[in-house]
Amino acid sequence: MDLPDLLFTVLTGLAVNECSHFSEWAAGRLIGWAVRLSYGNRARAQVRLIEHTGDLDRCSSQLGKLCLALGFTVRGILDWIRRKTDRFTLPHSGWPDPVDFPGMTVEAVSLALRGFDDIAALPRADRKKFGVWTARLRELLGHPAEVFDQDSTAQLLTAAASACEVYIDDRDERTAESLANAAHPLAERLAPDHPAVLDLRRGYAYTQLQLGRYERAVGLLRELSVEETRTFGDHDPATFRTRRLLSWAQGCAKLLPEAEAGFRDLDTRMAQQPNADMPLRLHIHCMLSWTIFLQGRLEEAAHSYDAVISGRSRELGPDHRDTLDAQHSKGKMFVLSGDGSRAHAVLQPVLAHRTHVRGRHHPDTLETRKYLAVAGALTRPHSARTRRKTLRELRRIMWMQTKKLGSDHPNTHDTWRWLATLAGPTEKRCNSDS
Amino acid sequence: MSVTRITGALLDVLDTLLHAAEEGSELHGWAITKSTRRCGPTVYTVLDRLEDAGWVTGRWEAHNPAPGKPPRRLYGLTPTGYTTARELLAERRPEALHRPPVSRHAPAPGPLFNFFNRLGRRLPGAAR
Repeated sequence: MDLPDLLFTVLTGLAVNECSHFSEWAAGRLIGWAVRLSYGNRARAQVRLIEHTGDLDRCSSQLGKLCLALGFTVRGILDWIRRKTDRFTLPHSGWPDPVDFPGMTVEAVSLALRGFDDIAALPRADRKKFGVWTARLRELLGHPAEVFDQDSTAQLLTAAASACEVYIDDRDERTAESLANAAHPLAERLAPDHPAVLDLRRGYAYTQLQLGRYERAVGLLRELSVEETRTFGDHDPATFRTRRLLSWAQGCAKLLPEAEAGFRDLDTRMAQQPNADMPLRLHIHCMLSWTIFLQGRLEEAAHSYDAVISGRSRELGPDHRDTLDAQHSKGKMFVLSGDGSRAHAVLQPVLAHRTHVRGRHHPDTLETRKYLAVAGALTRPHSARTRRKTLRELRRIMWMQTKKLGSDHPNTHDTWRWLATLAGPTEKRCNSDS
Repeated sequence: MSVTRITGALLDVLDTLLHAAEEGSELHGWAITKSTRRCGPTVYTVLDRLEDAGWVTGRWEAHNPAPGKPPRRLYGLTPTGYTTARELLAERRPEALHRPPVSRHAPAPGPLFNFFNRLGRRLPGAAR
């Protein structure tokens, strides 16, 4: 064998070796891509990714691995196309008219909406599906109330109340408010103390609270709390959610001692329950911590937040929305008390998590970005460069909040106050029209 | 919730899981694929549907008996799935319920075997 032949054989051998390694690598990449295409549900996608990767390991030949991965990829593409087309056809095509089949349509919508909770953490396709289902709900709410019997009316109101809550948790209070308003004519068909009507009234009061109309929220929630106590009894857990919101509204309306007393009373009642709703109890502790801080007890509030964060990390997970909310509130508390370095240490990881889970422009992420920027300015008060950077970031945030939430939203107003504080009274406020 | 479309692949997977349940065992995805002789994507689509319907439940094994390999996800029928699978197979494939369970450790015939088997059956003079 002469030298060129030898070289050719060696190079061919090396190329074949490389290709066999490449096919294994390509199979792994294809599986990852296929799983992402196949599943809208992230948890299931992760499970399947681990399983399919294990299946690749069990496949003995390199070509077999590649073929298996290609099979999954074809399925992934078909699933993705099906999901995309379902989005447009599912709730619209072949739906019976609610005038002919009210129960059937209402049940489908209320069942479909029941499974949604934190929509910001869902993949885009599922978020859009939630939007499509609520559009269908809104369409049903637009029908004359006489079309529906009592059961269907109650189901629709419960679905509207739960959709309201999902929107509020996603910081889209205006959509929640308009949904509650759309459900109002139906609510008048039932007694004001019907559980579905009480749910809707709570949802509406919650929107008012989140939109910064604190006095109105206090009035509505006080009335609702009295009605719920009369309907369910003084110690019934069904009254706890409204009481929590009432105390929070009182805190926002600067009625701090009443708010603290309300939270402590509620906590005592929940402690006496055998199977207390732990996430709700942690919500109460979290809001109580903020109320304690507003009354000037910083260290007590910080300890209380630490307990909430560790409780939520244990119960819900360290990346859960509520755990991050508590961490954000703790960081915000340090900013308001002027401790920039402590605030920075708390808010930096929260921003990373929120950006990852909810995106850079979600209202929650914008709030963390704002307080992190202010914390930076507090840490270096004499640096002109930091000041310029902070002002630029705050202007950008205010512009986005004005666009997303409106210029009269409490978050936008808060950003403007920080801008006015750091830049001076000459700072112009942007309008939602601009 | 119910599984709306009853396909051949779905019956194959149910047949396999039912026999495994009767042996008191659970199977992982690869074993189901081998046992049903269906391709991986088809089997996992069926498993997705069965899990959504609450007929099948999956759990991760504590550790893989093969050293250095990650744990596998084991599938088994739920009580509802077991009852419904029996009813469904009795209606659509009564012979499946009386057949002795195929050991999943026995090597499944490969595609070449199937090809020659089908070819052999089509040849003139082949035993029918």
